[in-house]
Order: sequence, then C-alpha cells, then structure tokens
Amino acid sequence: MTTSNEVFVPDLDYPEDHPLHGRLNLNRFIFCPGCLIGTAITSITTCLVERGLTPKDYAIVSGIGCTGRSSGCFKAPAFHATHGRAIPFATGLKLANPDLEVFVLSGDGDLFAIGGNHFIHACRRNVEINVICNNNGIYGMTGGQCAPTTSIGDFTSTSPYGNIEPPFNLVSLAAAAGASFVARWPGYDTLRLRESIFKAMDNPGFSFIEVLAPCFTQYGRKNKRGDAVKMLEWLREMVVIDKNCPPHEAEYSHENQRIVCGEFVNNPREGFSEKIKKLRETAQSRKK
Amino acid sequence: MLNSKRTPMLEPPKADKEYEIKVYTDICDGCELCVEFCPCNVLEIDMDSFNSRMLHYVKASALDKCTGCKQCERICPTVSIMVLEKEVPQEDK
Repeated sequence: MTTSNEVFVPDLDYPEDHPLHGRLNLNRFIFCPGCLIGTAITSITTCLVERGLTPKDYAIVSGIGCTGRSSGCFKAPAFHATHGRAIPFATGLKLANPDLEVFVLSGDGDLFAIGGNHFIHACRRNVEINVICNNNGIYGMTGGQCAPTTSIGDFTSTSPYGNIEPPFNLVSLAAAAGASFVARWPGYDTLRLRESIFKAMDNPGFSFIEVLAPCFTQYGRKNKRGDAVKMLEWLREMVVIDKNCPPHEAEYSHENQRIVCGEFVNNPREGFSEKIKKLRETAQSRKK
Repeated sequence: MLNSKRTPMLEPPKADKEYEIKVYTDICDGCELCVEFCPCNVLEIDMDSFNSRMLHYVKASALDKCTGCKQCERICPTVSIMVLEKEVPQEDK
C-alpha cells in the first residue's frame, strides 16, 4: 500500500567493485560537504567489512541531531531512537541478543546534554556496547545553540557575547564513570580512529571513542574560523597526541589552543550481559 | 595543507610503482578535503563537468606525482576516491 504522502527515495549504492558495496545508502547522506561525520560513518563501516561481518551481525543506534541522522545511511538494522535515549535502546538490544555487535553513533548534544544520565550509568554497568560520539561542540541541526561541550568564550546564537559556562571533558567523564576503553581522536585521522574501533570491538565491555568533528556551518561562521578546510587546519594546530596521558589530564580547551588526543583507558573487565547470564544460572540451580 | 608547512630538503626518490586514482564521480560531493590533504598536489576539482547530482567532482590532474600515500582515500567522507597500484611490466635489459 502506498499513500500519497509517501516520498520515494531511490537507493544510491556504491558500484559492485567498491569494498563498501551494499552497506550504505548515499542518498541519505544529508551532511554538509566536507563534514567529518561522513568519515566517522565510513570508518565504522570499513572496520565492519574488514572484520567480515554481514549486516545481520551488527546493529546501529543513534539519537537526534546531525549525527543522529546517520542511522538512516546504513543498510543494516538501524534505529533512530528518541532524544537522548540511544544508549538505553542499545542496552536492550545487547541484553536481548548478546551475539550482536552494537554501535551507538550519536552527537555530543544527544549523548551528554539530555542523555548524560544514561551514559554514566551504562559506563558504571559496563554494558558491552561501542559508543562513538561526534563532538562538534554545538547544537548544529537546531541552529547553533550553546551546548554543554561549547568552550569558554565561543560565540553561538544563544551566547552572542561569548560563552561563560565551562565545558564537559568527555574523556575524563567516561573514565571516571568506569568505562573500560576510552579514546579521543580528531576526525581527519582515520588511520588511528580505525585502530581504536578495532580495539573497541575486541573489548568485552563499554568502550567510548570521541571523534572531533568541528561544525563549520554554524560554529565556524559565528567564530570566524572559515570553511571546512580552514577549520581542519585550525584543529590540526591544536591537537596534541599523547599516548601515556592519564584521562583526567587530557585537556580540551580552545583558549589554551590544546586538545590532547590518544587512548587513555584500556582495562577490560567483565561485561553486564555475562553477569546476567551467570545470575540466571545460579537462580535456576537454586530452584531445583 | 601539508606542503604549506615544510619543503623537502632533497628531491623525493622516484617511485618504482605507478598508481591509478579511481574516482566514483556520482558519489563525490566536491568538498575539496582530498585536494587540500594531498601532499603532492595531484588532485584538483574539475570545474567544467557535473555529476548526476549536479556537483563538481575531483579529478587527478598530475598522476605522475602520486606516491601512493592514500591520504585522499582516508580523508574522503564518502570513500569516493580509491588509490590502486598499477602493474608495470618490467623491461628486460
């Protein structure tokens, strides 16, 4: 049955000789040309292809926002969850089907503004999901409002005289809440990002990767940072790679021109679904 | 972007392999990230032609400079550019 309101969007797939053939629908790529959300999506997909996983073996969950629209691109089980509730959806998916590889791909406004509570409790429980957060430091899709990750002194449409609130440091927050794998990489450095995604898939527990993808449409225009290429140059001057840095010292500030990137936590421990499995076995043995 | 900061002291060694750059033109957005990230200035935006989505796409204008570093393949948000090794028949002396 087709209704008159239904809009037909034809599939735009890669040609058959491309390694990502049959994985993404490129007509749903609604991102601005040059935005690094695209590199995050394609590096996840290439990692899944290199591991030899078929679309039945993984699931993608995303929330609301620019990065939230990315779940529509995947030709796989993908869920566009309610605002801030991407991690509860993913936890339910993982507990119902422990063999599934579950990815949460969402933005900073979704995961940390309205869904911050869900994030810290998923870290505490050590649920076996891989959370990839695209940090652009702003609410991009709704018009460039001030977000909890906006740096001090930045101009947004709701802070025309400069932001005065100190931002979240996502890496130290995740490490303090108990995540077992924490990393931060700039979005252009896909070689290191893909290595971290492989490590996150191997990690039996909650793994968190922050991807720096600055928004040139909303943030760059207000702060006079220029277009996509100039903003990447601006990001490259600030990024410092430090491998043996403790997570609470991983600085993130535009004022001091310093963003420390690297892998900060990697101590695997027992996940939540295995604990539930053991609990179920002990409860059933006690009944008899 | 890379070549603006430092210049090589010696002439780069001539690559013994030849490379082929394959652009999937219908998928390319023309965002110029690969043009800026290429250290050897191999790529440029083709301003004379359009793809099926009415966007300009990238083309390899100086293919003989390519060293096969695959920077463009990694940075591309839509993976529309691929660097392939070309098999060169060796000349017998």
